[in-house]
Amino acid sequence: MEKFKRVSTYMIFVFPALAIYLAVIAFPIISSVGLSFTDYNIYKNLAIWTGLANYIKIFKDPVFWFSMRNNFFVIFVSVFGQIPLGFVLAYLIYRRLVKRSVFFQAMVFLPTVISTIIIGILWSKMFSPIGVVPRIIQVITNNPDYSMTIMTNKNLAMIPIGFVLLWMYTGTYLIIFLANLQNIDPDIIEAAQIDGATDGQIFRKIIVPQLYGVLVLTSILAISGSLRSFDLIFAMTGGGPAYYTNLLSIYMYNQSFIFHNYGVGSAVSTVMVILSIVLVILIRLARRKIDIMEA
Amino acid sequence: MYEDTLNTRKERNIFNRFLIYMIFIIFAILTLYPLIWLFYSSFKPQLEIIRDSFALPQDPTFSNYTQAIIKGKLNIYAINSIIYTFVSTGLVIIFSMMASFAFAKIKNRATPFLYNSFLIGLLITIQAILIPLFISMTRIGLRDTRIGIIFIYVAINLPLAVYLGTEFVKAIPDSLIESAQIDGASYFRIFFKIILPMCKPVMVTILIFTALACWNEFMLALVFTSSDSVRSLPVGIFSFSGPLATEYGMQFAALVIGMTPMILLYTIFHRQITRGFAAGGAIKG
Repeated sequence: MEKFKRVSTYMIFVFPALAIYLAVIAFPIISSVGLSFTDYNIYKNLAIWTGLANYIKIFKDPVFWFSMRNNFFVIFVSVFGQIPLGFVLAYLIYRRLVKRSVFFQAMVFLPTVISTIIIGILWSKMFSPIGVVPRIIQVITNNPDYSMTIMTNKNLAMIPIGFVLLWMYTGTYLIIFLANLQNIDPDIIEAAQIDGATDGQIFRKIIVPQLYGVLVLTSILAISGSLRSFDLIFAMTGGGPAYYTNLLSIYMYNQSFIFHNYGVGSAVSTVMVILSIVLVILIRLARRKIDIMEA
Repeated sequence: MYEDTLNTRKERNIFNRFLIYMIFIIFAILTLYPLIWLFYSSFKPQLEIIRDSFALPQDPTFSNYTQAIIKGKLNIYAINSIIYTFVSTGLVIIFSMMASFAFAKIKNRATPFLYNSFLIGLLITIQAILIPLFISMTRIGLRDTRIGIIFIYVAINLPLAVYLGTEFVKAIPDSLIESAQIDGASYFRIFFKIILPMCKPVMVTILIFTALACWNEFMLALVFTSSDSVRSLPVGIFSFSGPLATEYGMQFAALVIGMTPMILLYTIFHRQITRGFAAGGAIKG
């Protein structure tokens, strides 16, 4: 009786969360992989098995590879831009090298709480002819006829996007790194200073090794976050000019909800999931290698 | 000689300080300037916006805001966003705390499996569920309904909430629960009288993350809504701010309306939000 009561209470407590989670996340993930091997018609609710046809189709599509390239650009900006920058800023605040650090911290972090879609629209206006960026360039170069074409240049349009990515997300990493820096025992640093270690040595030999775990974790986050990012570029350029700033997620959105190729869209999302698993495994392997080298 | 090196070192220090301040000041300007520019531009008539993007409004007007509400239906979108945010956040907090309590304090062999399947949800890309969910929601008639959106928002925010909640409840000493049980308290009583009051900090963290996520969410709302009456603020703002739209003043006003609540929330709760991101941001990113 006691046990029955315990089990039934357990079920009552777990049920609501579990039921919603299974219905919305667990079940669809499995059926997404299945759908990627079919040609699905939503009006007839009919799925015809087509084997690898969807995968072959996307691998032959240059737009898919453009999207992939841009996704790697976003990953690159996150891992080699946002994370180091966030780390350095956090370190400067941690070592109390700036006064009013609460204010500065808030300034770096503030964009994080604003809707990505709003940020995307705001910056696309900033770079557009009615925005201030072209005006500033006009004033600096003393050329009132200058017109900004970077957003419509197929080779350069990713650059402003990279800038906005840095602007938006550096604050998140600043906060994470700062919290972890503050967990480091100050006695260790004091002891090293007494032993005559320089600031550079303390940074390299104490601070960085202590934060390896966090660096790996944030890299994993940055990668999986970058792979699923959609809102910012969708709002800033919509993937344009043409498809030169497409991401895999935008490619997938267009395939599924504009062209109604649900099978092709599912194939793209399956590729995205596999890609993120592979990259996460790579990062973990790299971490292990560093650990071995350290030991 | 000694004096000399001391002097250069001092000079270098001042220079370093200067450089460090410059970096932070540049960041501050880059954050503040676009927001200030957006704010004053939202009071400019269309002609002034086109003529000079720098200038302050010569003839400030509220018409952009009234336009955004009347023509842009921003009031409807805002009400929808408020409903989505409040209801989803409330449900996520209740459901996640219930599950966290069961996972952490009621012994059951299913716990490791169930808990881990929630953790996998943390790494899932939303795109992976988009199409099947779209199909099934269409078939059961939940697409383009408020309930459907709330349903999805609750689900996608549960993994992080269950993780944070369970880890927090685990840290509550068992002895507290055992002594309550000896006094004859049921699990329900223990949950409401002991666990929930102690979980306030983690509930605040969950609240912040879920509320921000629901208020700012775009892609799912874009895919799962098609009529104006159920659209959320981000989708509504996007719908008349496309690259080809030319009513700039109205768009600026809409952007200001969309971002103000979150900026206010941040200025009031910046301590809690920072702490929350330090704890949960490490997972969510």
